[in-house]
Amino acid sequence: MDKTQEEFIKQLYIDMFYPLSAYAQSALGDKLLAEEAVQDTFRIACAKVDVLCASPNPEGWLVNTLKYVIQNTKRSRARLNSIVVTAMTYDRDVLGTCTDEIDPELIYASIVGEDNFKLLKRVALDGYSMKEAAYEQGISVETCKKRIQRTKKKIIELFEKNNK
Amino acid sequence: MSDLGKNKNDRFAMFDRMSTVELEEILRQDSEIPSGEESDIDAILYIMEVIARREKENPTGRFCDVHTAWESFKRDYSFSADDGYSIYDDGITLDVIENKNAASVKDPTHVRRTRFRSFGRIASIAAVIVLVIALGTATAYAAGFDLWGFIAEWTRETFSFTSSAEPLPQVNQSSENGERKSFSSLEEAVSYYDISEPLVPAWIPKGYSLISVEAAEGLGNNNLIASYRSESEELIISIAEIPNGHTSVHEKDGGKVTVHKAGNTEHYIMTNEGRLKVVWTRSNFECAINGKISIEEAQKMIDSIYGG
Repeated sequence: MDKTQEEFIKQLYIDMFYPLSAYAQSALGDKLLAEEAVQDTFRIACAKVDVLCASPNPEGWLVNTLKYVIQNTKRSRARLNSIVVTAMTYDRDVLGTCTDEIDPELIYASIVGEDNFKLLKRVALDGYSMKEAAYEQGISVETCKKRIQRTKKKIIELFEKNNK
Repeated sequence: MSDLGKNKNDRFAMFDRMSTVELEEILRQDSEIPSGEESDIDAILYIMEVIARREKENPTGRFCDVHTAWESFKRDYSFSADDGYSIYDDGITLDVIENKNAASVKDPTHVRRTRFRSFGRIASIAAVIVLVIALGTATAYAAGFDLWGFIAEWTRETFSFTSSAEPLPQVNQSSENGERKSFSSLEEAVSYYDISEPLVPAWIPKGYSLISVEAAEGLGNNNLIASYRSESEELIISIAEIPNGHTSVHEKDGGKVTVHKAGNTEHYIMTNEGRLKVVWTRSNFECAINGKISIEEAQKMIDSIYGG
């Protein structure tokens, strides 16, 4: 992004943050998730700044992008919730233990890492935004995103392996 | 003011007279319009500006501060989006977004026709919302639950509750460090946490045995999960405390959502990947039943919560 584009984005941010927040808050019902959706929208706007600058209606472009970010957020968080709830009904035969005194979280923690499983639960079950979950563990949002992706993938692979 | 600007203000004047709650409901419904269907962007932008202006004039703290958010954007969110994915990466890439945005730039004739249809839909939604709010609020309070506490909403793929209520006091939490506790029954668990609301089914479908009841004590909320098992299937009952209104988003398939009312509470029954899911909120709890059971069994479980 050149200087002119940076200034363009910043001014658009200042002008549109509250209106976009109003839209996101209405759709997501949560202040921090709404903020995150708006931030994600502007992150995408930076990546597509040439397209945005050329758009006859940049404000409309942002609203459309925000709408897709919101739909994606809901769909993805629902999927994460499903995965974690399914993971909690562990199968002793699958996870290789024969004792009744077992904590499923310990099992998954040993497979995917305790911090990673906690991160996933925070977002999937406790309604945390990526930023909230990242701050709690002292990591960046980008790292949080990647760790949740990897953890999700490992758990799905475990389910698929044991369904064969 | 130009004629164009004046016409827009006249066209959208009705939104200035609507309450913020009503305007938010229009935006919420717009956010669920499926891809491929257009909404009236001008009307939506106008509504967004009205809500934002009201917030600036009378701050309620519902939105994050823009300058704080800008600093956070530079610090936390400006990592490259060149990989093509949003922070939540399921199914949407930048190319998809770009194609959708490009498709929304139409020739002037098509834009006029589309906007007329879209605005008609928004106007209809607005009229219905006003009527439902006027009729529903009084009825809801008379029935004993708060219509503005949690509102159920669903699309083809997801189900969730949104909350506009003030947070309720948290129930007793013995530990601040995210500990786990085990109980011999769900009744024992709710009693331990002094939960007085009726939340636990007294009837479980035949063939299922209790395997475990675990409580996860989080920072600010507790989650109870009871696992049952039959010869081949699992059944889960979960009770999550949601003092800040942080409800879950539940995955569902395209089947219809049915509502079963019992104990002055609406229980939403849906399906996902061959399993039945029941979700409801009561006070500051979000509860769910998840398993391969029939609708009749689900309804019987629900009724048993309230002595039915």
